[in-house]
Amino acid sequence: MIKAWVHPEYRDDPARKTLARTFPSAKPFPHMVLHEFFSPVRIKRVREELLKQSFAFKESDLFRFHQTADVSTLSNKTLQEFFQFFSSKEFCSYISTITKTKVNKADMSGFIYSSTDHLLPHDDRLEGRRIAYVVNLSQGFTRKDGGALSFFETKRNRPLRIVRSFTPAFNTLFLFKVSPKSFHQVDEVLTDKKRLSLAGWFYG
Amino acid sequence: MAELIHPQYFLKHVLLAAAQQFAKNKSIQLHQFLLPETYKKAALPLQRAALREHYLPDQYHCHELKTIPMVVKQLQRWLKSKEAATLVSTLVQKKVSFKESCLCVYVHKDYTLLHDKNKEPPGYDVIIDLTTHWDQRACGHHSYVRNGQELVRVSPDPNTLAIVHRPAPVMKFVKYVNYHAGKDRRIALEARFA
Repeated sequence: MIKAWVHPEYRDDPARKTLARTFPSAKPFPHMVLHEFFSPVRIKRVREELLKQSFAFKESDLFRFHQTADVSTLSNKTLQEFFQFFSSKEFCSYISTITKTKVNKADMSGFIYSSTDHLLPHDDRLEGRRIAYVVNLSQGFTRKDGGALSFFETKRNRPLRIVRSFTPAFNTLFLFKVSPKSFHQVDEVLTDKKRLSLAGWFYG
Repeated sequence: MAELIHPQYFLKHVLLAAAQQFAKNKSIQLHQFLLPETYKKAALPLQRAALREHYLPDQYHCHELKTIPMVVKQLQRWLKSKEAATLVSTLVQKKVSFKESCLCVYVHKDYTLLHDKNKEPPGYDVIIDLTTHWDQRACGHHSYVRNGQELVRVSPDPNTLAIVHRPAPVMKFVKYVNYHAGKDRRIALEARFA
């Protein structure tokens, strides 16, 4: 399945070894950003099908966005295929290798962040979560549109200030290790463009 | 201190109606609370006053004033007075006294989060709103929640005094202020009575 879904430059052994070397030393905490990661034809279809789904409005002190039900419960064939690949033994083994973190299953939901939507600083820690991921499906975002995924520098496991920010880019996979240091946020969206993604966690 | 407050809030029938409303809703917002002159003197300089950032990103991000204008100091003294305790006690129909207060400024990107470390003792929250202009789309409201369910929302509203009953399981947060705020400031003199 990896052959069908993942871009060739990320598939071979040397590529896996290079990724495995860079992930643990990334600052401010282990992470990687893999551009053009999926087959462009397939991920375009995933985007199109995701946009046809129903998204529920969610708001709390921490966030404001729209979210689908767990993708495993959706009846859409393309999204089911993508989720089956993403949570497969083969892909979990690939993620385990490149992050040097043993994982064996994943969950997944679709998200839309519209104008003023946001997710404030938190570390994602919850029983079993090992690697957090975002499959970015937004198109046409620039820095001034907001919606960046931002990472905090920490001191004694408390967030201090933002030190890295990643503008949403289509067909990019973000991975980061969940730990007491993994404080991050999604910056407020400042545009009428929609920030679309599939996101969740790998568990181990 | 009576010269600060609009005289209607010394009228028995007004206070009785307000107390009945509070008993029903467990919250109340009194409009035109300060005399127009007092409000102008307090609120206008606050829009230009120098601010200091105050933050622990996983708990709150807000601002405080570097120096507090005299008329605001007067209001802070009033909150500690017997007169204020009597007014709040009349409205909540229970003898209460002043416990603590702070002057909080919320601008674009500010918020407070529900966090175990921010748990406040229960009581009656009093919010004097010294905001001058606010686009309601900007949020920045106080939200009172129990088990994730919003019970009361106090929206920014110039020259109001809000009182909210906050028993132990109810917690409050200030919703993230989004870009619709522009350069506006939500300024709230917040106090707790118990």
